[in-house]
Amino acid sequence: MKKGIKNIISTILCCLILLLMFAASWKFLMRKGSYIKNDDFYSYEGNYDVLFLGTSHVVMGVSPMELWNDYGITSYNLANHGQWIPIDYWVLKNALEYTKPKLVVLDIRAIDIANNKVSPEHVAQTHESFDRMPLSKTKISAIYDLFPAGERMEYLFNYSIYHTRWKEIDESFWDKAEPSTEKGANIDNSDNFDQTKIYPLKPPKLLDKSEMNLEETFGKEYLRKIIELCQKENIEILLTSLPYAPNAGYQMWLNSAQDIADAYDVPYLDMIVEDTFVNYNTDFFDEDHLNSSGSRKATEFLGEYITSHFDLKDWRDSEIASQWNQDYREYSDYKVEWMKSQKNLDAYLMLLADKNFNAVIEIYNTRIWKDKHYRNLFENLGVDLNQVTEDTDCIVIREGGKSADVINNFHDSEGVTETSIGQLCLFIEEMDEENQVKSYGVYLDDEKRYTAGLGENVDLRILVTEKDSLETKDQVTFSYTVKKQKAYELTLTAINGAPIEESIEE
Amino acid sequence: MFFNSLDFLIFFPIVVLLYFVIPVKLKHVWLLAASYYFYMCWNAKYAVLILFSTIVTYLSGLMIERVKNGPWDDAHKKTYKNLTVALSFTLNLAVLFYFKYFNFALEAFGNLFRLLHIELNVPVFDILLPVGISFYTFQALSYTMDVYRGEIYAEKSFLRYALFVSFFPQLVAGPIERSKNLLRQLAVPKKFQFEAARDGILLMIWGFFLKVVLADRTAVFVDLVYGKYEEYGGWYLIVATLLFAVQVYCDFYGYSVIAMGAAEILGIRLMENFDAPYFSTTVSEYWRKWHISLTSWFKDYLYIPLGGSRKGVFRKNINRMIVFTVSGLWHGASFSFVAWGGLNGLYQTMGEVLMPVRNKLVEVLHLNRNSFGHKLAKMACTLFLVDFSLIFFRANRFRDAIEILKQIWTVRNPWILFDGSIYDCGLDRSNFWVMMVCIGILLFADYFKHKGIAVRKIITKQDYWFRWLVISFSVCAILIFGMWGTEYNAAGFLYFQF
Repeated sequence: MKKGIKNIISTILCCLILLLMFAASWKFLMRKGSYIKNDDFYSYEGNYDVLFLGTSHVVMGVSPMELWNDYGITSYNLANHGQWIPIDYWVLKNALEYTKPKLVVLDIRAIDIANNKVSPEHVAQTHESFDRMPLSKTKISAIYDLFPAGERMEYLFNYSIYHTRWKEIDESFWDKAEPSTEKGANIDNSDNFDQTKIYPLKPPKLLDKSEMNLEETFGKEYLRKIIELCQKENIEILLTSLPYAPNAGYQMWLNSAQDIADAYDVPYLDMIVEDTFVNYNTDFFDEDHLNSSGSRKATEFLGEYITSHFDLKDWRDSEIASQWNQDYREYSDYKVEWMKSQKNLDAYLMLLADKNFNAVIEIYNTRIWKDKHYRNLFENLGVDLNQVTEDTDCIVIREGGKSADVINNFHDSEGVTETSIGQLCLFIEEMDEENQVKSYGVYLDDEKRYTAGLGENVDLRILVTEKDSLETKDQVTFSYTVKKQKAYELTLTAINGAPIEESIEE
Repeated sequence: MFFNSLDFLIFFPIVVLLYFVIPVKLKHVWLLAASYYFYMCWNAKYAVLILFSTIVTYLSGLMIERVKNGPWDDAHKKTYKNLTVALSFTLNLAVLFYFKYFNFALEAFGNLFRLLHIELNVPVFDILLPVGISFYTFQALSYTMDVYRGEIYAEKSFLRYALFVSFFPQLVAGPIERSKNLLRQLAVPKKFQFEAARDGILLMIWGFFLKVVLADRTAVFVDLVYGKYEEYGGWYLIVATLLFAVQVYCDFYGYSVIAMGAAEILGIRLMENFDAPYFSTTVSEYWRKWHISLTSWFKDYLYIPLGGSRKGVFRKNINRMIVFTVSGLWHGASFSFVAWGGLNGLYQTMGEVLMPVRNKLVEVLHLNRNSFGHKLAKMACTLFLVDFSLIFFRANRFRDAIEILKQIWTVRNPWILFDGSIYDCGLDRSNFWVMMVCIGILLFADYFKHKGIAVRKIITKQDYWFRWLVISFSVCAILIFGMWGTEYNAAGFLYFQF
C-alpha cells in the first residue's frame, strides 16, 4: 500500500513537472501579437460602452484612448488585420460574454468576402484574432464555423503551429510581452515602429451612392447576423466605412451596405465622401490605411458622431476615471516614444499633428518650402502657407488642436514674444569667433527648454511640449542629408537631448 | 488511427484505464472491442477481412486438434492435418493476394504478353489495400502452423483468439507476434504494474521520438529528392538514400517500439523487432536484427519447410533466394520490392561464395578481424550494401530505381554538401541540423543496445527527480521538434497583408 501511494505521488509530481515544462515552452514559443493586442480587453473588469470591429482599416484608424480623453467614452478596438465580417461576428459573440456594450461600430470594408473560410494568406492575421481568446464553447463553435476540418487544430490548440517556432528563436523571445496601451488599436502598425509612413494618395473618383453591387456574399450574410445579434442583445449598431480610396467596383460593394442598413433600420456612416475630413496628401499609411494623422481625424469625427447620435455616458468624472486616465497617460508616453523614434522629418511632422502636442519649430533652411511634401505636412499642422515669406528663417508656433502661427525673421524678434502657447523668449546663446550666432536659446514661459546648442548644419529644430502640462516632451534637430546622390531628405542629426532636470543641475 | 495522431492519444489512455478497472473476465473482450474500433477508424468495412482471417485460422486450429485426437491412423491424420493447413493458407493468402497483389499480377501478366508482342487490354481494379493485412494474415497463419506442429494447443475461446489476431498495438505494423508468446499472455491478464507502465511509457516516448522527430523529418528530404530525382542528381540522391536508411528504420522501429510500449503498459510483452541493425558487420547479421518478427516468420514457416540448409549448399542458397524474394514481395506489390529482396538474398549468397577469397585476403594482408577498424569497415560495407538495395525499396517503380542509379552515377555535384544547397531540399539549415543531432542520439542509443545495455534500464535506476526530468524534457522536446501540426511559416506571419 505504501508503495502504491509513493507511486501515485511520484506519477502526479512527474505529470506536474511535465505540465510546467510544457506550459513554459508554450508561453515561450507562442506568438505574442494577440496577447499584446487584446489582453487588456480580457483583463479589464469594468464595462466597455463601445466596441469597434472590422479590418485593418479600423485597427489603424480608430483610437479608443483618444475617445476616452476627448469624450469620456470607454471603448475597445476589437478589429484586426484581415478580420473579415464572419470573424467579426464570432469575435463579437465572444466579446459579449465579457462585456455589455451599448454600441457596436462595425466597418464594412470586408462586405465582399465571398467565402467564410479563411484563406491561407490570412492565417497569421486570424491567429491574431483568436490566440488570446480563451477556449470556450463560443470559440470552438467559431472555429468549426470558420475553418474546414484539418485546419481547426492550430486555432483550438495553437501549440500545434507555434511549436515549430523553435527555429525562429532570437533575442525577442525573451522580451516580456506587455499588453498594448492602445486598447486594441494598432495605429502605428507597430511592426514598423520607427518607420511610420506618409503615403500621398489620389482621392477616389466617387460614384453615386446609389450605385450598388447587390450580389450576395458571406460578408453580407454575417453582416446581417451581426446586426441581428446586436438587436437581439439590445445593443445599438453603427455601420461605417472609414476613409480610403476604393476603386469603382469596391465602392459599389461598400454602397450596398446602405441597402442592408436600411433593411434593418440601422445607421451607416460612409466616410468616403466629397467633403471629407481626411487629407489625402498626409493622412494615409499606404493606399488603404490611415496613418496616425488620419486616424486622429477619423477618431475625432467618429467621436463627434457617436456622442451626438447615441446615448453614451461621459465617464470622465466617475470612479473609473482614475484608471482610464492612468491608461491614457501610458498611451501618451507611448505616443511620445513613438514620435521620438522617428528618423525622418516627414514622419515626425505627421505625428506632430496631434492636438495634445504644442510645438516650436525653428526653420533655418528655407529650402523646405520648395518641397511640396513638406508644405503639405506643415499645412496639415495648421500652418497658413501664405504667412510664410519663404526666403527667411522662421518659427512655426503650433498649438495642439488649433492653427499654427508663423513668425518670420525670428532673429529680429529676439526678446519676449507672446504666442498662443505661452511667452516665448529667444536669446543668443552662443556666438562663434566671427561674432556670428551659433545658437539660440529658447525660453517658454520662463523655462529654458533646450539642453544642447544647435550644433553644426542644423536646418530645423523642434521643441514639443504637452498641451495641458506644458511639459517638454521632445527636442530634436534635423539636417538635410544626401540620399542616393540625387535627392535630399531631412533626417535626424542629434538624438533627443537629455532630460530637462539634468540640464538644470548642470 | 495512427499512433502519432490525436485520436490515439485520447483512445489509448481510455483503453488502459478501463482495462485495469473492469473484471478479469471482461478484459480480453474490452481489448478486442478496442482493437476492432482501432482498426475500423481507418476503414470499418475491412474489419470483415480480419474477422474472416480470424475465423478461418481459429477453425483450422480446432480442426487440427480434432484430427490429432480423432480415430484415424497416422497417415490419415497427417493428410487431414495437411489439408486443413493448406485450406487455411489458401483462404488467407487468397484474400491477401486479391487485395495486395491482384493488380500487380494482372500488370505483370500484361507485360509478359507484351514481351511476346501480344497486346492485352489488362483491366486495373480499384482495390484499396487494407492496412496491416500482411501483418495480421501472417500472424494468423503462424497460429495454424504452430497448432499443426503441436507447439501450442488450439485456443478454445474465440474471443481470446480474435484478440490475438487483432491486438491493436501491433495490428497494423507489427511486430508479427507468435501465438506461443502473445496468446499465452492474453490468456492470463496481468494486474496493473507501476514498473511495467513506466517502462511502457519510456518505450512509447522513445518510439514517438523515432517516428515524429526523426523519421518524419528525414521523410521531408527524402520525399522531395526522390519525388523529383530528375532534378536532384548525384549527391542529393546519395544523401537522400542515406537518410532513407534512417527514415525507414526509424519509421518502422519507432512504430514497433510504440507498439511494445503500449502493450507493456497493458502488461503484455511483445517481441523485439529491431536490434541495432545498422551495427551489423554482415548482411546476414543485419537480417537477424532487422524486422526480426518477419525474418523469423519466414525462417520458421518458409525457409525451414523448404529444407533450410539441410539439403546442401545449392538448395540452401536457392531457398534463401526464394525467402528473400517472397519477403520483398511481402513488403509491396512491385518488382522494385522483389529486386530489393532478391538483392539482399544475393548479397548473402555472394558473401558465402566469396568467403574463401575473403578469408585468404585477411590472412595474406595480416588483418586483425577483431580490430575496431576492421569491424567499422565491415559495418560500413554492410550499410553500403543494404542502403544500395534500399534504392529499390524507396523508388516507386523498378524503372525509377534504375533511373535514380543513373542519376547518382552521372551527376557530379559534391559541392552541394558545402555550399548550402543541401538546405534547399525541404529541410532548412535548422531542421537539417536538428535531424543530424537526432541521428547522433539514435546512434548513441543503438550503440548501447548493440553492446547489450538498455538505456531504459539506466534511466529507471536513477533518482526519482532525474527520471521525472528526463521524461518531462523528452516529451517537451518531442512536442517542440516533432513534425506534427501546421508548419509555422515565419514569412507569412511577419508580413501582414492587412
